[in-house]
Amino acid sequence: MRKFFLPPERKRLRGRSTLKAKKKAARLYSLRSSTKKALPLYASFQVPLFSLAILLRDRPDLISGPVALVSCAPDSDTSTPSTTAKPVILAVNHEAARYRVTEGLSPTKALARCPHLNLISSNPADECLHQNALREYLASLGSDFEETAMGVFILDLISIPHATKFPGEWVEQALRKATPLRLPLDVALARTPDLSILAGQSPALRHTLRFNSDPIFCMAQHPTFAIQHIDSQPVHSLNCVSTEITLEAELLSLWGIETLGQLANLPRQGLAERLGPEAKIAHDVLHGKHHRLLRLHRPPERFNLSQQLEYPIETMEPLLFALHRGLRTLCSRLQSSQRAASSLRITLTFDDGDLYAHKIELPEPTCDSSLLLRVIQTHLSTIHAPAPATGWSLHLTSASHEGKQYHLFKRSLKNSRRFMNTLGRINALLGPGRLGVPFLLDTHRPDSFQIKGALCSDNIAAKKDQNGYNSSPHCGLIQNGTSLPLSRFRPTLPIHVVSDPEGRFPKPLALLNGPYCGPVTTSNGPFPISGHWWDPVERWQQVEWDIQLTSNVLLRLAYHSPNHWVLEGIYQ
Amino acid sequence: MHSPPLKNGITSCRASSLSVLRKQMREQFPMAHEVRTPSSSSSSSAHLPPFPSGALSELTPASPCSGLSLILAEILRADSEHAHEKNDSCTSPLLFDEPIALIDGRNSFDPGSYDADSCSRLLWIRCHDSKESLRCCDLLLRDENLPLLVLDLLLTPPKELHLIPRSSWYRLRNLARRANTSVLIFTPHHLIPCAALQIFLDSSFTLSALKKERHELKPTYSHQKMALHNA
Repeated sequence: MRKFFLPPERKRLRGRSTLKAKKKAARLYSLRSSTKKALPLYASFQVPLFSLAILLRDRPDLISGPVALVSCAPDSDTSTPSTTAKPVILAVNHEAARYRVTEGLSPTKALARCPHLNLISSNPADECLHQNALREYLASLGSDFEETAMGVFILDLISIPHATKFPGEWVEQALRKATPLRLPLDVALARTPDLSILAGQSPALRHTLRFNSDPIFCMAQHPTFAIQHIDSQPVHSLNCVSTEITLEAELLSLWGIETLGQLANLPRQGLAERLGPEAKIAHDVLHGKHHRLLRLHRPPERFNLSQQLEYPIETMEPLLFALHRGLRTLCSRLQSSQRAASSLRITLTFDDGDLYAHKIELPEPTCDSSLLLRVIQTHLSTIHAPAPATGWSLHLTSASHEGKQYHLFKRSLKNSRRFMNTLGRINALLGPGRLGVPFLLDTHRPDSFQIKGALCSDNIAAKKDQNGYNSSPHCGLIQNGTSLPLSRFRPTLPIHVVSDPEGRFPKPLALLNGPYCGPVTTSNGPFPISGHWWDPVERWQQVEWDIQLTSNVLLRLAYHSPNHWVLEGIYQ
Repeated sequence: MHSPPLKNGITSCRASSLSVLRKQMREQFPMAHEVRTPSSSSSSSAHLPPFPSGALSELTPASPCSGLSLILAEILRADSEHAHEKNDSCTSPLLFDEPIALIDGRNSFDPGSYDADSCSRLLWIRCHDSKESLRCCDLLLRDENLPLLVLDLLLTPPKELHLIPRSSWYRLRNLARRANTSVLIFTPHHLIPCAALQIFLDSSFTLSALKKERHELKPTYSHQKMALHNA
């Protein structure tokens, strides 16, 4: 007879006579019984009327009176908040509810029911701030928690042995830890996530924290969950618990089911046959048989590292040594999370209080610390430190490893990382702004262009824009407009020119000095150009001439009033 | 032990299967089976001479306005058209698949004289003097990523050019050979002793040429020499 009381695991292994099988069955039995003893397993943390509570937090004078939260209703057509939409009541406190002010009413109707009702508008930015604070608070209690809704969290207690052994003591500690938030908080414990939410709505099962200038802790009357403590709650409260359950309250009321207790008392099989699978799930939830998985909140990983040095560093090598150690740590963290660095930001603090920060874009995501160090070394060789370095900070932007398909018969960069390093070395050699891809600016001002980094991701968009521009009827349009490309003198060379003053603009006759001297044989012009005439600072104006000298040299001259000639370029 | 007729049969069977395989590959990848001369480079177009890969090519103007800048425009345009034929969308994390580096010895390149698409394929390196230009060229050749480099020394003063040791050109030639990169060097006069190709542009454009369309201007080169003994 004794064998019928064995747990299923032991029944399954009954036929095996080996000692190992018996030991395994005993271990499973002890594990299951220990789990049963460890109830409750989940704690729900709920801020009642979250949107309203965060507004009343800083306005205690309103707490005692009737208060309603007002917002603009979304447009029915566009589903976006509109300033022209009528405002509606979003939430009310208990005082306002006594005057039959309910959610969804217009403020006019609400004021008609309660003339001394205080209307306050919602503040989404504040809500986000307080939600973040609550998230940090939950993370300080345990690592595994679900952010069910705004102001509602479920914490898994399986990894907190103290909470499962001494739940009352743990809840009191948790509530005391929440006092800096200065928000009302309800904590309830249950053996499933959904039941913990329902328990938080029951006055008998929840532990509360309220504020009346000082924090007031109120422990639950019944710390252990039982179905009879929630049986008076309305059936539609189940809809708030889980998205899987969408019970129609009207249909249930036709069946005479108004409360959770009435639903729980019905036979499960008959409920499923008559009201469908959702009613069965709701029944399972109430009896603790439906145990859903939590959607655990995982904060985004940050790959930062900083160090304040004990002694200022004057040379590059010890700094690179310290940076390499930091990079190795960060890269190993990246590798463990199967990520790679797409860019890195280095910040150096100097002894004189100066700060240097620079972001380096990488051509391909990598988690090779030596490569990253080489990139940093190339960049650091370009800067001049005003004082010894006293600290450094590294921030890696994580990205997924890029899968790249190479083509057999198409050429591309053989080694983009090496190319990036080469560009860094050339940049270090020439200085900033001397290397990149030229992009023309949308102006007629001569020599107006912008240099963008060859590895800059913005270039792709810019190139697409330019390609789009080229696909227009002006395809192949050249800003300069001459058939022979010009080679420019940068800066322009001021020269003395003999000119003919007759006419509107002086005509060049001979060049007296500069690299190209001699009489002008032929000339094209004048070409007066100007721009930004409306801006006294940016205003520019010049007259251009294309000239040919006796030595067959083709030049471009520019005349700036009064009597200032410059050599702009040469046609080669 | 196989008899001679059987051996011949196996050999002929292998040859036929190889030819079938080659035919299939030719149909699948026609671009890879284009007939090319050994010295030709992909960056050449119809108006330009073929520039040898893995070697230095020197382009020298015979007159002050011989249209050397037209050759640069032609190279940029030819390469961008080639890229358009190959791939319409730029999906690479880098800006371009086949960039062309212009090492501008005197920072004289004018982006306004070229169309936007040509500029977008150009990696413009703006140097101050010939020393910097050669160092940049050296770095890019050691990088071995770019198939074509253009080194513009046209506006560099002759005094500065004469200070460049001859060994520098030999070093660049060896690096170009190792990287299989075409290096086009624009010089005001003949300067490079180890250039595999020397081109003298003898066309001379006058002011009236500025009124024509660019495609109507054709620079002519009268003398080209393959310096095979140097290669």
